[in-house]
Amino acid sequence: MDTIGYFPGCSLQGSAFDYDRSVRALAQQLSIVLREIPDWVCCGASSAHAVDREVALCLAADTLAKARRAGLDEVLVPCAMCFQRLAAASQELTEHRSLAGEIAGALGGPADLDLTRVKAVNPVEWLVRLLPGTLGTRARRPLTGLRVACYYGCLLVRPPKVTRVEEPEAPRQMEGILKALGATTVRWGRATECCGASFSLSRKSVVLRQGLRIWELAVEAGANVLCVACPMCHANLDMRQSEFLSEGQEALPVLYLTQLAGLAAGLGPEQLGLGDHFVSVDRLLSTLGPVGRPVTDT
Amino acid sequence: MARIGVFVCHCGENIARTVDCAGVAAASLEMPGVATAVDYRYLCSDPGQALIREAIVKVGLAGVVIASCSPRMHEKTFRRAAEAAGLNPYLCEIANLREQCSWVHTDRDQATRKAIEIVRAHVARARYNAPLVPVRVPLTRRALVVGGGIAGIQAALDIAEGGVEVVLVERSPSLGGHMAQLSETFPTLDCSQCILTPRMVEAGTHGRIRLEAYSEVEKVEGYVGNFQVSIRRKARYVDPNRCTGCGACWQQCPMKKLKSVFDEGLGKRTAIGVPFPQAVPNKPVIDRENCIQFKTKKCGRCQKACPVGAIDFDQQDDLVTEQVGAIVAATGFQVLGKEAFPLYADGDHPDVITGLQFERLASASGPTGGEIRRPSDGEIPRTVVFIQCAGSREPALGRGYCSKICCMYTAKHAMLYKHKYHPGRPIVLCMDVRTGGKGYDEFWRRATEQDGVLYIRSRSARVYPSGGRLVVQAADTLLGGERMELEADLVVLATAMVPQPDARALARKLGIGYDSDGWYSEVHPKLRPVECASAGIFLAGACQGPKDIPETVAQASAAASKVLGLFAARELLREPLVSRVHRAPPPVHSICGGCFACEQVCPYRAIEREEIRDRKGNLIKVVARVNAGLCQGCGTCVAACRAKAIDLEGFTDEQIVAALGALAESNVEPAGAR
Ligand SMILES: Cc1cc2nc3c(=O)[nH]c(=O)nc-3n(C[C@H](O)[C@H](O)[C@H](O)COP(=O)(O)OP(=O)(O)OC[C@H]3O[C@@H](n4cnc5c(N)ncnc54)[C@H](O)[C@@H]3O)c2cc1C
Repeated sequence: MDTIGYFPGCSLQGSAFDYDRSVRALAQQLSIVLREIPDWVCCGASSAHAVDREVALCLAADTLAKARRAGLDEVLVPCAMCFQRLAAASQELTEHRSLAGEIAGALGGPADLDLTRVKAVNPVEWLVRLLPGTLGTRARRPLTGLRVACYYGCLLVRPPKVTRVEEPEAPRQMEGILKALGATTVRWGRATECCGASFSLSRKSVVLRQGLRIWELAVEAGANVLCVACPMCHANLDMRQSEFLSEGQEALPVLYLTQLAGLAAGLGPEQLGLGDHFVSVDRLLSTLGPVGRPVTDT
Repeated sequence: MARIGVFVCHCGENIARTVDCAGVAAASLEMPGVATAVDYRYLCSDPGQALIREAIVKVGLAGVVIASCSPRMHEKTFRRAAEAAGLNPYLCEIANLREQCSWVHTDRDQATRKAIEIVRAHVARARYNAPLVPVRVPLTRRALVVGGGIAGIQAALDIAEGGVEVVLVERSPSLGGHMAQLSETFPTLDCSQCILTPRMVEAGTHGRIRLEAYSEVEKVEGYVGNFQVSIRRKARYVDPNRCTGCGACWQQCPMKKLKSVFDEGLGKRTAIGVPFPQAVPNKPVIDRENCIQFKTKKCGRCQKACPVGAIDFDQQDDLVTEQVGAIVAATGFQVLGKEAFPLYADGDHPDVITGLQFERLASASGPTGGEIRRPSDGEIPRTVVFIQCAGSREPALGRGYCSKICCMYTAKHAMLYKHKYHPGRPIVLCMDVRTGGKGYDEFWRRATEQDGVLYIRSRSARVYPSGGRLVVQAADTLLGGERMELEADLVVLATAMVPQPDARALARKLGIGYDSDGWYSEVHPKLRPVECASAGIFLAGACQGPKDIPETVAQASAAASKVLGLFAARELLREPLVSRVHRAPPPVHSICGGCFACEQVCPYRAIEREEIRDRKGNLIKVVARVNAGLCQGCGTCVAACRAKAIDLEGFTDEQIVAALGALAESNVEPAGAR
């Protein structure tokens, strides 16, 4: 069985526990073992990197070191902010190999601890990779009827030298996955627009304006579901939707990529944490067909 | 012992400031073989040259060493002076005391010592200089022009008018290039076809122009004055000698919905046909990929319709060889397609078009008869947003250069739109506006002042469809990067000019250079703008870099005059500094062992095989021979030759050993010293 390291981070233990549940359930369904990094610490997102570069680097490096000691080469990081921090740290350590050695030493070794050998992987990359074999062959419920607006936001794609995304302003990876699983994807102009996450608490008005802009274009493009892969995006678009929509504007369900993939893989809404969204997903689910033949054979 | 004269130049202060020139002259007198040595303020001046000439005659010099500036500067001057005094010019040797000594040193004593060493090495070499005569190469007075856009047409006509025969090779079925696709042209707004088609007809019917349309250059061999070019005439499946261009064939063709290449995909065409009505030659071509007869053998309607039996489905490509003395490359450019811009509505929205597509919309002969109608639904757009610099000036996308013509043609497009649809709102998003050229800024002013075109200084980020229209997202760079969203019915991208996709492949066939973007390289950007580094090959038009029509035509005429200038000589004289393979009387014949390692390394294909036979005609051995017309004197073969059978005139082994020996101050006297 395939094994990959797992770093849930704080969001997935809190507000985004449904994301966590869907990733774990999907992995299990695909017979992949998620090995949670023992004793992982905060990734340092939101404040550390803005205040102290070294602290930021060490926080992320500590998790990479623990992964390496556990013999792991790859860590799946569902939260886009955690992914960004871990990937940025590995990139920096790979660029400055001597620094990697120093930090490995400061974190308690052992002497041959090579921090540059661990790679942070986000769920989009993970599923793109799993699609041809594992995911494609195990998908039993085509996502026909779903018209998905894929929303990437910022940290999943930018900056490209950290995220390794080829077209950071016009990414198409989620579209590729969902189309293969039978969904329709819409073309729209706000896929990499900011959701306003950094202003989530300090200037809510910005978040509401951004949310509305995103909702408007997704609906206009004909989407009946918004797909995200970041807890912050999810919170701002799902939780705040009732705040930014006015009367008569119809709510749009916001699902994690792993939830949509989980549905295709035959998992039930409960297993994927779909009962805990602010915007109800019931109507959407009713459009889906039964679990049946493999999607990719049709 | 040779009688050598050494002449040390002060070059005003350039050399004299750091080198004691009189001291160098005095030291030279001590060197073996030196009969006279003097220093002088400006040797390149008339009195300076007279000094050299007099010394040659009076002292009876057998060789001279001029210690002055780089040979690139004045070698020719001094060799001419020596020749005027009756000395073979190749017995004159330049020691570079300026670029390689005085200019790069500050310590006068050390510089003077180095200058003496340099002169010593050259004196030692000069003793082995042999009189050489320029290589005479016969000249074929015919020219090849590759590419039949306005550049190729102009060059071919000018050369032909100069009395020289031209072979004009055009890859597509018709002459014309991009200019045939344009509607009206800046800065005068005259109709492009109206000024172009007479030139096309002239080129197509000129008595001294042999037009090879729908043909490509397959192989180029030879050298300046003597190129052999093989040309592939692609099968048209129509016999051009029988065809009258009546059009019966394409009227019958059932494949009526193919996308017209000439209309940039906006119009329709048939599988047999001419690209546009004014095509030269006006003979159709069958597009094999899309022809039902070729696919299923179940059509042949054009064949039945043809009144003269010109359709021939069995026609094959045909190879012809032409002898020419000079070549003009005029292969033009391409524009980036909109698919290169995923940020602009995924690069495939029907109402996001390129500037070249806009030309077809604006053209009276285009798919809309010259009305600006958007491709999606045929509506007249109320607002058109023009995005300049799409793909140009974007080092991040690997294209740092300015495409140069887009500011002007965008102003033209905005004006044409406004002239054709008065209530329309043209908006141009630009980084800045570049209008260098005669009458150009005036033209742009007309667009803004008289036609009310709105220019916004900005960087465009994204285009996306919304509400049946398009939204253009941009940052206003004049007002502090403020974000703008503009609604438009049609978006026109001024996409970058790029080299032809096969530009590099053709460059390799021709043996010419190109820059990192793929544009063909001239020898000198200012002083030799139309010549390639390979002798006998010239450049015209946009294959060398973005250019508009006036510049293209000017360069084409310049290239033509270069060709005519080359052909004005009776024969070509080339520098005799070429390689030579050892030859000796029988029974030795040559110490060349016939391994042909030289052939492998020669970058100019100058090594030939020569069979040595006895009187009865029996083969004794095969040895290498250097074609002096092709050899560029690089010396690579000399280094590769295991038998030391090859030597380079002017840089023989014994000369180099002598120079090194002098530098080492040893008294190495190679065997055979005079
Ligand atoms: C949208 C647009 C609008 C423009 N508007 C104006 C304007 O208003 N005024 C103005 O002055 N300029 C304008 N220009 C610029 C103008 O088009 C060029 O200056 C001109 O076409 C350059 O001519 P050319 O012969 O060098 O190249 P091209 O026109 O590209 O012609 C090259 C020819 O060579 C042929 N060829 C290519 N490779 C080979 C090969 N290997 N073998 C044989 N044949 C080959 C091609 O088929 C083609 O026929 C505009 C350009 C664009 C894109």
